[in-house]
Amino acid sequence: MVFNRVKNFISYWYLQYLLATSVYMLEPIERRIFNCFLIIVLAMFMYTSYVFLPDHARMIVYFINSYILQPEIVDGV
Amino acid sequence: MARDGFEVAVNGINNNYKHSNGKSNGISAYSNGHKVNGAQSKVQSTKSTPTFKEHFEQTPLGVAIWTYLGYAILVVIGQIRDFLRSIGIEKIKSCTEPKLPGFVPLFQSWESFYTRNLYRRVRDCWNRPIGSVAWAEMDILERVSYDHGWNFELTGKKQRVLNLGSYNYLGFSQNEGPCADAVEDIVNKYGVGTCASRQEMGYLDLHRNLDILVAEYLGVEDAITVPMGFATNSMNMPLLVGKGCLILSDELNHASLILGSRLSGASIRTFKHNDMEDLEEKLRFAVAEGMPRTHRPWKKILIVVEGIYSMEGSIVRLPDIIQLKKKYKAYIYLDEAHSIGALGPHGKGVVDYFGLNPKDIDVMMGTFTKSFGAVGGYLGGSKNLVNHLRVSSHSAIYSGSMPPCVIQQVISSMKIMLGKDGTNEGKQRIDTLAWNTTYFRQRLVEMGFIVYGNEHSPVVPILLFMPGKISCLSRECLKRGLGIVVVGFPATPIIESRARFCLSAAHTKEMLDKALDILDEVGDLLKLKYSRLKRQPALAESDNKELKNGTRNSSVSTFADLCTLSMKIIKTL
Repeated sequence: MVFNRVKNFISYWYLQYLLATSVYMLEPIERRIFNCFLIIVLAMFMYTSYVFLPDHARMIVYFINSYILQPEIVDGV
Repeated sequence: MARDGFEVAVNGINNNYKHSNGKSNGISAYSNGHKVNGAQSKVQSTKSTPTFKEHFEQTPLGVAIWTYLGYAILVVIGQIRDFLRSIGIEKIKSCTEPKLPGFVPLFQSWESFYTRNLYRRVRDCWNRPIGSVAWAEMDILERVSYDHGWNFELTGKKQRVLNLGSYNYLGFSQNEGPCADAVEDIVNKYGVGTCASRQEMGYLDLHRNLDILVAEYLGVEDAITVPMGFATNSMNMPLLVGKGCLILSDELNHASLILGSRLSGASIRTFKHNDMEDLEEKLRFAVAEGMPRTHRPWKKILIVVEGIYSMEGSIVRLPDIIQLKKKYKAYIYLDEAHSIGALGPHGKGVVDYFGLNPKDIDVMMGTFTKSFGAVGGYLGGSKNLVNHLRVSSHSAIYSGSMPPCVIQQVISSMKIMLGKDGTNEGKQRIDTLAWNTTYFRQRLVEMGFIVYGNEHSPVVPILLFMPGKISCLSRECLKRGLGIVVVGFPATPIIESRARFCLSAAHTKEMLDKALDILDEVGDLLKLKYSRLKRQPALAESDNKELKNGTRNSSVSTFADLCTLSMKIIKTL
């Protein structure tokens, strides 16, 4: 019963995704290829952000802090 | 074209349009402060004119982005498929031409690409064959395609659906009733074909009677009728203007007007849709500067407009155009294909709607296809004009004349509209159509769809924007028993695809309610309710009562219902 409701909920949003990206108009094989392609791209995106984002964010914060504490000296006279 | 959402509420001819860019006080105010009231000062109108309310809501930004993304995906996948076809992996099923050196290509590249890759996938939404008379309900023959839109087969089954797509404004497309009986008698008397053109032996006394009746209906001196509506424009415009004349035509004019303008050889300039300031600017430029290189004055300036524009549902601003034409000494060509019979308290078109004098319009053109249930068109105006057309019109010389059965259908329906048959059925039809229009538009706006056009026009377009939703709406409505017309590129701008409803005097309130319930349900399912404006209050008191009691039997779907419905759709994909 709950599984049915979850399935219906997902199918509603799957339909909206199909309509908005006009994948609804494609033939079945094209639809499968496009969905696989999209899942692969999203998986790579999430993997990259999981691996690299914490370090990258830490470095950004470090540079901002160093800029605030010690302003760069230009034309030291 | 996305315009700024503005509302123009006008009372009477001496009007104050409030434009969003700050200009006010009517059409001839300029932003540098020189206010010239000339075009407005001399008009006297004793009849009351309706309030002019047109609305074109702007495209929401998120929707536009998704629409462009959808088209981009389709184009990329189309290019991949074309590449596969060109290297031979996939069979080529469309028309191709041999690439002969030195020959101009037969098919334009973007248009044939669009047809092959985008239109072909969802072709089952258009060209549906009909197996009965196209009245308020009709039979649609079922088709099925096993290779995704390249070839179709009839299954043999018929489906009875509500018809909101036929141009049947006054409901005269019936196959029974006084018109059909009169047509039967005439066929028994005159046969079916005339076997000649009008200038040879095909000019029957029926043609003369029809010409006189059309002239009386319009209120002009004389009229001539042509057996084909498209040919009325394309074959007769070259007789009115030629080289050395200027045509100012609205940018959304019909293909027949464009073809007629081009065939005439006159210079053509377009002005923005229904924009009187742009038109006045172009008129002033034309009168002041004259022809391009020699600066001689133009022989004639012809303003070509339509009564109702069928893709937008907007009505032309005729009072302003008449003032402009009188001021700058131009001529008006008014194409009333959709508005004759459908507008006005007596059904006499857009001139009647504004309460103007028909003698102000130089050439009144219209068709019998939409409101009178026949085919053909007419051209009306002064006696000199019609005499000239009778002698030299291409359609009078070369094409077969109108068959007697068609003439009789037009004569019977016009007599009903004029009240000459003794009943007040004409008035009833006009009132039913006007009520249907207001009710349908009000309910659609309440539901939250973006509806374009004037509040009194029986052509009601709602915007869909996304290409996937065009076909989904058409199929879902057909499954539930509603036959509609959806329009995409190239008839409309590429992101403004729409569904267009044509209301009719043959629709009863129950039919409209059923159609609106279906649209409500499908609109929720497909998330088509884009409108961000405040909802107007309900139309009639009876609707209010239903809302208060909660017994309104519309299908206000819950989210769970929508989810089950979307499951059904996905299973069939």
